[in-house]
Amino acid sequence: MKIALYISAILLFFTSCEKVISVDLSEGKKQLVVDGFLTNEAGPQTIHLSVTQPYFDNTTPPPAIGAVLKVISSQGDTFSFVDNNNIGAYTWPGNPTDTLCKTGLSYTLNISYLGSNYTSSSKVNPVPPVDSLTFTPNIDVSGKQNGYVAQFFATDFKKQDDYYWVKYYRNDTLFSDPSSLLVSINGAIFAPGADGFQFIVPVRAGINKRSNPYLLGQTVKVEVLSITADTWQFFGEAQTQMTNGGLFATPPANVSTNISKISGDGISPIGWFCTSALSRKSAVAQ
Amino acid sequence: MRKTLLSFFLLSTLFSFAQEKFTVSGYVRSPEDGEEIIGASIQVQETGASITTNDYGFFSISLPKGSYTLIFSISGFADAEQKVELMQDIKLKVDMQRKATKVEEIKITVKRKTDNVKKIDMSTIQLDIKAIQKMPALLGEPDVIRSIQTLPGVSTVGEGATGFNVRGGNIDQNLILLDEAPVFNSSHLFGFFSVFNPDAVKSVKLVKGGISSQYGGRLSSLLDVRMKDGNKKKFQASGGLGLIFSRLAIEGPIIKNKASFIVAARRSYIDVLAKPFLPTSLKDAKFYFYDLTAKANWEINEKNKIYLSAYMGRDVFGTSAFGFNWGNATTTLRWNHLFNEKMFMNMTTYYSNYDYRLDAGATDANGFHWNSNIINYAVKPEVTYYLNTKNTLKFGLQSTLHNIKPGTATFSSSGQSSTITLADKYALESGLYLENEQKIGTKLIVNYGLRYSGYLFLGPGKSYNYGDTTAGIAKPLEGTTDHKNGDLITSYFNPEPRLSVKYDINDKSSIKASYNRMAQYIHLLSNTAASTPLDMWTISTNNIKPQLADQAAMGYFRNFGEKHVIEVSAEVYYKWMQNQLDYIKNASLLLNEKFEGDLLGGNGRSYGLELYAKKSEGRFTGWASYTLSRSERKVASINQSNWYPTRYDKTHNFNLILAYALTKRIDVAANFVYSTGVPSTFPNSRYVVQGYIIPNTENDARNNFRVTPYHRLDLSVTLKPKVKENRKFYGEWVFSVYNVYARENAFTIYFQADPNDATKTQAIRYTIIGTAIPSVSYNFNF
Repeated sequence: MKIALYISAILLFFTSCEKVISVDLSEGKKQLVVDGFLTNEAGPQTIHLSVTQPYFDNTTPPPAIGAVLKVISSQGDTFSFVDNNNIGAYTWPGNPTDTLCKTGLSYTLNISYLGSNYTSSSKVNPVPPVDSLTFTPNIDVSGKQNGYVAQFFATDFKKQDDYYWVKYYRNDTLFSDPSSLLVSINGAIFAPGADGFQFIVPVRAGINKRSNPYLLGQTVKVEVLSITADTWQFFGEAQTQMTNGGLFATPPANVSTNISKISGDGISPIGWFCTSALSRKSAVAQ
Repeated sequence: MRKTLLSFFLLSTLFSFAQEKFTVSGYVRSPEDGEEIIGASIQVQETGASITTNDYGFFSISLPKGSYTLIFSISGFADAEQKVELMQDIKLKVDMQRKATKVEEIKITVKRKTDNVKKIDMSTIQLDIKAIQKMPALLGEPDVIRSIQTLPGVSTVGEGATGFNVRGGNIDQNLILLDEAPVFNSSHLFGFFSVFNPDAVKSVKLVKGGISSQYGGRLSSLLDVRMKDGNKKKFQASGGLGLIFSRLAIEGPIIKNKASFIVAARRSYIDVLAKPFLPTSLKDAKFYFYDLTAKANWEINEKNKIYLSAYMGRDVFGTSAFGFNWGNATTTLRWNHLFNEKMFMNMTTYYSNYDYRLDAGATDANGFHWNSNIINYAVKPEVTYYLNTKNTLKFGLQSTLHNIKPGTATFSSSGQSSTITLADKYALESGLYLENEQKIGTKLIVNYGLRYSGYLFLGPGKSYNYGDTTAGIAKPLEGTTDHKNGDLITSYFNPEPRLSVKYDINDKSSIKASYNRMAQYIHLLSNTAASTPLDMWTISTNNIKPQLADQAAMGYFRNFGEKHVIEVSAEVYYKWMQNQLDYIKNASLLLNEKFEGDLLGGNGRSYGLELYAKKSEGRFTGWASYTLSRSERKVASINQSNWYPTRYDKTHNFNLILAYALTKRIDVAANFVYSTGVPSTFPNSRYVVQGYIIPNTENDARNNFRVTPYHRLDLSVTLKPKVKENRKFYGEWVFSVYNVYARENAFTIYFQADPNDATKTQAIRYTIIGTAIPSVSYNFNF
């Protein structure tokens, strides 16, 4: 996908242009949206439930309220999530020292909404520590220094295939645009060839925006989350669909979901449930 | 079935004992440069019998003792006449003069039919390279593939896309031959230019249906490009200076009238010109291409002639941190041999290598390098036997060894490195064919043939066994088997019957019909709107079945005008295709050992009406084409397993190409193109996960909308020097404007979150060329 974006950039020479236009789209059937990403961080955990909206409806997604939501661990512990403010944010309060996700365990999500029951499950895989975060001067083509390039160092586990989601922040603001979404297999980009290596350069340095480098004194924070193979696939599909333009676009297709309806004739589900272990490091650019 | 067909062949060719007959045979050439003329018609005035020169300019016809007048004709050349007293076998060398642009008197007044009515070939268009060079072109550079795209039945997914689609076929279903060797990627700079250097091209023929049994291995078309042999009389240089690249070709005799050569080269320099306009982050970008075409031929004696041709070209893209490049190299050695005046043989052997590589990371300690190749070795003996006036037999064999090297990838990180090598694959693809072109009475010609193709997937290698699963998700790998050198892993055999019929209604019109079955054993894996240079070719395996197509076509052909200068045709076709490849969602095709698990198989169908009118003589020349068509696929799990239109389905497709000789020194030309917008998939709802707005389409529909129609006008003016006797140096200026009224044609319409406000979604129209592009180029020869 990155290759395609790159080529498109080169094709700018051919006076290619992109314009926002208006298109008449019909409205699709409503679906229940599950946004459930839990970690081993101490303290409360939240799962969001909402309903799909027309593609050009730019309002806040309508919340799905009145659902009963539970997460059960493979050891039999049950965690209840409650939407106290009727905004579709179902929260497990926890204590500041309690963690929900434990590495190696599996978790099942059960949702009961408007008479239908939905379920999903996920496993917590181990995550390696972020060993260090380094900065080197960013030299642009004209030879001038312009800010810093950050790299984080972590080493993939040997033997099994491991999947990671890397979230990164500038002064505590998450890089949240679709092209900044960074996932990795075995610390590499798209093939399992680097098993057991230190994360490769495109991942290590994948936490930078070339057009807007880190500046002296800015805080850079990196979080590495272990994810399941399915979740890695989900993020790949989602990123493809969110940035699917240009000469080499793939045929648009709906992103997979791991939520299934087990009973009732309510609306069909969409969205994702994932449990992760998390490691983190932050440093000041210098 | 096969036996009866064979005995029919034999029977029909045996009853040929009548009065004493002699053979007149020979070559047709252009006297200025000694080039043989392909596809020239020879008509016997006294009997009405006719024949066509083959790909090497050779013809042979047997007639009863007597005196005859032979009339030679082909568009772009003045007719020639030759009287013969046939008392014994006669060998001829016939010269045909190329026409200047101005009208020339046609000296021969006989009512001759033009090629489209006379020849049995249907769904076939032969383009004169001079006609291609007259069309207004992008950046002033005439291009073979872009001119092919103006013909009826040919479409493309959009501007700048690699390749072309014929009658609803995918881009990998075109057999593209450059002097008999296959070209795997016909494009430079994605699809803006093609690998064929017009300075070195002699003829271009596109066959969309009724394909002769001589050709096989692709479903949808044959694009037969023949290179010039090189001037046999004198040294000559030609070339051009353009905005985007420059060309130079040198040709001349090695031994006068016996042996000659041509060498033609091109190099682009857009990267240099574009540098000031690129953003800082792309300042060190490289993107260029070059190609070199070379050929030599030697007429050893009257019976033997050899040709050696080679092509080498490469495209390079990238920056110091990331780049890729790809290229084709082919070498062909051909030997023409005349066993006698009735039996012509051509033996071709070729080597072809297509490779591509991807490099990321500036240093060896940290990087990723990948390269991949497809190598082919082939031998093709082909014999034409001009048995008698009524029958011309063709038979031959073709055998190709495919060696696919899917690639070696090297990862390095902080000095550690690992290499993934996907095992090589080998296969032997062979075809055996026999066909007869038979004249029945004076009005009917039938060409019937059978090609029998066989495919052996051979060791050494590895085969993969997949389990069954719900269509649409990756098939689980259940095990692999290692095979030793020479082991037969899987084989496929396909009889491919071919049939063409022509019936003359009168001297102005004819009807034609054809049927062909084609089998294809090599496939391009491409899951993007336009094919990328990194798309992988794969051969049929135990998991990938050969693609099959059955096509039937019918057409009406007619000439208009006093001298039959306007050729008009109308054709309808229906094509049914099996084992078409498609892909599961998010299929992983690059460097994935288990890619076969991500493939889906389905059926395709296409049908349409094609109208074509062409005027190739006079001050005013050009053609108009209109296609009404549908191209669809049905693949389990895609579009809820219902039929859906392909990415290149265009209901209406209209092209108008005109050239006018304004004065002796000024030519003007115009192109106009209109086509229905291509289908596309549009979402109709959205949802949010982890802050990301994800689009969603009800029922997982595929290609449920169409983008806006495509239309464009191009104009050009060519200024030629004063006509002078004995002028040695000839130079012309070409001024052109591409996309004159700056239409912003949609390549795609896609949907995304507003980059400035991630909570808002928007539709974006992506245009490849959205402005008028003026250009100037200078062409010369001396």
